[in-house]
Amino acid sequence: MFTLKRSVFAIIFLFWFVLFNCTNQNDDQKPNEEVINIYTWDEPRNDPEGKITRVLQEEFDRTHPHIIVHRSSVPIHRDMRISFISAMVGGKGPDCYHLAYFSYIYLLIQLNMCLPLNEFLQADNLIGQLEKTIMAPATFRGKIYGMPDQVYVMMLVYRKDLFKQAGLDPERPPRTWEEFGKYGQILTNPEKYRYGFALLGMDWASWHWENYVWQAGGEVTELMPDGSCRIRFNEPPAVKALQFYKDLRWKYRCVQKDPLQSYESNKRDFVNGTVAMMLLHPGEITFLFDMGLDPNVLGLAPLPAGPGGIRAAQIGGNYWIINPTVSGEKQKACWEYIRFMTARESVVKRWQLREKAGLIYPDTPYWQGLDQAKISRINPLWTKYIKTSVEDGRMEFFLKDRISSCLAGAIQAVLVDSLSNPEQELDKCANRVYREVILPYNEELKVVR
Amino acid sequence: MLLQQNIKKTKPERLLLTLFYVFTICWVVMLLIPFMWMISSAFKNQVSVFKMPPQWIPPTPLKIVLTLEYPSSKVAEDTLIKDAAAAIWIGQDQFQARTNIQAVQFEAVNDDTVFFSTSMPFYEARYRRKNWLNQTVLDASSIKPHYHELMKNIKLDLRLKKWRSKTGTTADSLLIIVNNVMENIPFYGNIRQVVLMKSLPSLLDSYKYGFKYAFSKGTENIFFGRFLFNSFWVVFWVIIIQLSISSLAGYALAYLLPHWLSRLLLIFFMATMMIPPLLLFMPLILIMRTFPLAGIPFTGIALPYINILDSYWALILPHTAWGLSIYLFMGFFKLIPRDLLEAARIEGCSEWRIFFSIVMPISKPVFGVMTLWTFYAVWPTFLWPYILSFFQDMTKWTFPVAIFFAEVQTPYPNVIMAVSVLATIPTIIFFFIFQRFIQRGFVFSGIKA
Amino acid sequence: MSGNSNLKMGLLFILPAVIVFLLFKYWPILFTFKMSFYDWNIMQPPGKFIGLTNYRHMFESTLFWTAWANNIAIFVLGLLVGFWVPLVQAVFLNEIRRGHTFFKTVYLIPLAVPLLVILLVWKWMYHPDFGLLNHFITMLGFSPINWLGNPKIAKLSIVLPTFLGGGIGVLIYLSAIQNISSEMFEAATLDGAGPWYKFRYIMFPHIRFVVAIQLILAVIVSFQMFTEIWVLTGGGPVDATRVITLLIYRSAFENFRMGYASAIAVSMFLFLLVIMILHTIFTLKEQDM
Repeated sequence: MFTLKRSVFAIIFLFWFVLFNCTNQNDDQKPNEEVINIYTWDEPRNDPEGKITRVLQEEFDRTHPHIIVHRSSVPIHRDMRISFISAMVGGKGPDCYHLAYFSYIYLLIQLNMCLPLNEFLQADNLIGQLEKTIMAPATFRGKIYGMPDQVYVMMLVYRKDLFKQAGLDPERPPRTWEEFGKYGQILTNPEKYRYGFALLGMDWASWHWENYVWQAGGEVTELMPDGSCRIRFNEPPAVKALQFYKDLRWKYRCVQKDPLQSYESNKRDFVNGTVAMMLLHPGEITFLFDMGLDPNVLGLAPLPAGPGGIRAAQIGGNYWIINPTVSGEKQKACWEYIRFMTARESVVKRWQLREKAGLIYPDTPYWQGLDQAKISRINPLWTKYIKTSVEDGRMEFFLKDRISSCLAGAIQAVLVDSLSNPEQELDKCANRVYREVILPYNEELKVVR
Repeated sequence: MLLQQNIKKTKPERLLLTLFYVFTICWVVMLLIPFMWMISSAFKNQVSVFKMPPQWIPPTPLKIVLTLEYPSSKVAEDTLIKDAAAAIWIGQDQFQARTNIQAVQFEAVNDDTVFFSTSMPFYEARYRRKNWLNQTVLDASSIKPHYHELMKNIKLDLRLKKWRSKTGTTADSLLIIVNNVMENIPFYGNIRQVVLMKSLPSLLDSYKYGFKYAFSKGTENIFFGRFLFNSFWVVFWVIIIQLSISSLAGYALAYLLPHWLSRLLLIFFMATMMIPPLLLFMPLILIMRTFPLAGIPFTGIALPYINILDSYWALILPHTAWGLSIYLFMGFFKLIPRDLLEAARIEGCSEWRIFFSIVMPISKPVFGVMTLWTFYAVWPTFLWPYILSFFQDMTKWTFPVAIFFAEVQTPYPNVIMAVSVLATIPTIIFFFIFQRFIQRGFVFSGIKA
Repeated sequence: MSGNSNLKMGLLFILPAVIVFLLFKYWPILFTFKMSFYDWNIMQPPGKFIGLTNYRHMFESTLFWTAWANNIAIFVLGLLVGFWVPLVQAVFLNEIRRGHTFFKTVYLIPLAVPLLVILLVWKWMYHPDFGLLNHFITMLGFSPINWLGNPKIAKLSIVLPTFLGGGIGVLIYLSAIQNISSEMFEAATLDGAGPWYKFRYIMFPHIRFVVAIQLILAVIVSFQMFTEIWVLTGGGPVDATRVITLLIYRSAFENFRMGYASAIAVSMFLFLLVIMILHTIFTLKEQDM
């Protein structure tokens, strides 16, 4: 009896021991004097695009034997921003991180999670060579905090087969808002559960909506010269944009029934052939193939132009940032890695490899004087279109990470109620944003001064 | 009770009883429909799950059976594998996500002898394709260079068998398309027969995919079993720690402490039950980051700490404080006759001895009930593991978190439902093991609620 | 054995429990109070002391009041739709002889299926195009309902899965009913009392406490509800299902404003404290019976 009890305890303590070992297995890497270990989160995915990244990474590992890069993937979360910030809070953040998106790098700067890169940039004399508009979101009080990794311009993707079935020319995507609505109407077939356009109405609805505001000739918010923020989404152009959303839902009836449907589900519907058109950031085209889309039916087009003929589209992307809490030696190694991965030559190589893999879509160069059309078989019209949009500088609106959830409410309101008034909804939202976001923000600004 | 039981019932009473039956049956049906639907959806594929009107019995999956004829049975194995790979991956490219075809079976014949055969389900093919093929547009020439990796670890059947002509299903229009596709592949052998056959094992494809491939951490796959194990591991330790802490406390409250103190402590323990768990999470994250405490509260004195945020302890420890369990233990121990304990004390047994050799053996039922209750309280917990998952490695997720993220990432209901069914199986097993405690548990809860 | 050594042993026995409760329950609550007075900096805690500013922002926020209204609406809806069903079901089940055990087993199913799984099944059934519910509704000749996308219906859609998961309530009521001695019913029958009379004047007074406790638990559960809403609508359409817990979650773990989140959490805690006191009173009363 007693031995039995004792053995039970022994087993329990054995488990205990194992459990403890499980928790500590990561901490026993011995630092080597010769080499510098850096930890990143850029383990590439198993898709064609990821393989291209891997080629570049292998080249870095070969040419820089004194730096060992330990790569892992970004922890899965609904929102990558939270993955990173949580890891930093938990003390397990990477040494350098490549997915600091334009829309929230401001938040990371505020939280002291990125290192100013001015010294490095000046030493390599790079500041003049980078596109000014693309560097703008990472610049704060004269310091530059990020190095662009991938930059995209929002595009319209459509299914050529569904266009053909509906009697539309698959090579002629819609060019204006009216056409867009009409196309949507033609493509919608409720009996087959097919919709013209997959609208984004969930929490990040403003990510797609802002494009329409710009196309209507307006702005969502504006950064004033003194650093404060002004609301502009209650002005007529934004109202027009929201009215267009309302028309898509209630006049043309060409969008999916559930406005809360997630972006992932939109992509799934597109792959399944339930939806004929959607807005997509081109870096995600490989995800669609991954989900089973036939590459032959995919059509790409610039966003349709608004009432004033403005073809604005959002430029988004991500920066590399360096963790300020690591040692100076590591920071230097991180910079070397970033410098290699973002170099002009790497960008060109990436385009060449993409073409080989059959992935042809336009990319937005952040180095001045690079032209993708000269390197891969891309339609030169695309490069022109992208160039104009880069010069136009349609960056995500200021303070997006704080305002977008409020805006989503207004957008959802017109999507769920056919009798709603876009102007009133935006006014209501503007009042709320002013009280809850702008006032505290402007107050904070004064305190910092 | 309300109605007379043994005597013949009056007419209104009989009517009333019928109403009771109708109500109960309606409600039971409503309770069961979701589970039936879950099981039914889990057996479908990504095409049939979106079929309208919904089918309760999943349609029979099909497989392509391709028979190629070779001039002799001494053909090099590489050639055969190349042909098989071309058939499998082009079949996957063309028919997965569009039809009910879910596998390819390949046979090589010479005269009337089958000398080589192999088969592969499409979910496996797609996974391998993701890993080894760079191309987004597939044709035979892009598959052949990679056949070695693609067909790695696949069972090849090299036994000689007599070939019999097969009769497939009568899916005529689909068969014509399949024939066309296969005829366009430049095989080394000649096509003898292409048929579509029923493939019942493919009904389990959603389960297999969900178990093997639905969760990936970068390039590495994590089996769903891992998450189930994590949940089990956490529950196991919670049960051990919580039962020992609460049984000791319950014993002390029942016998050892003066009445006023035990009443006071009982309120101290029970009061915590109504604290909304979300309220505790922010500080708990901090506690786990600097465990046990970064400093003595309110003094500013620093203490040494360890970071257990990324370990199982963070999942286990907060569950160990549960007021109800102490209360139930106390209630049960109070039922033990006092004389028994007094007699042991007079004989000079220590309290430890009394607790282990007298109290514990006669309290088996309460330990059983508490094991059951703790299991059902901790096993499906979502909120705390979910918030902790922001700070933890994916290999430490419990299964609800994994399913939640699977739902966000792979929006295919069939896979989600399959994974859900897998997650339900352990609870049902546990249910049968502890069946005799369940009813007793409700008697307890009836006293206590 | 002297009482003194009993006390010593008792304190020793109860020490682990006290430590665990202090560490994982009481200390975090005090900490939440402390955080609510700070502009909490997650990278370099504690940040700046700002007094009651968080509370001021909270009371000025329209969303805060909307969230409370939503919470109350969801609770009332749950009461109307779901709360009475287990009670009625238990009373009915008590009369039923044929299939009694089968029905009881069915009510245990929700216990065997994790909540998250139930919710995902329901989410799939709510799908506006391919969902099972809309299929039934169109079969009956109505136009399909946008279960989760319509702000007027979304709250009901949140409540439904939990109401159908209420089988455990049936068993609790049933065991309470079965504790009543049947002699009283027989006596009433001899006096010629009808079923309603017997329910109203014999059965109900006996299970009144169980009902009251279930009611209080329902308040607590519905005000702490998070997973249901997070999985089904995520706070969804036009903030129609944005409740206090979601507000806390978003402020704390999406916007990283821990101080503000703590202020909201404190308001919720104070509300639940009142309910908790009620609960304690009922529990103690029942114990004395």
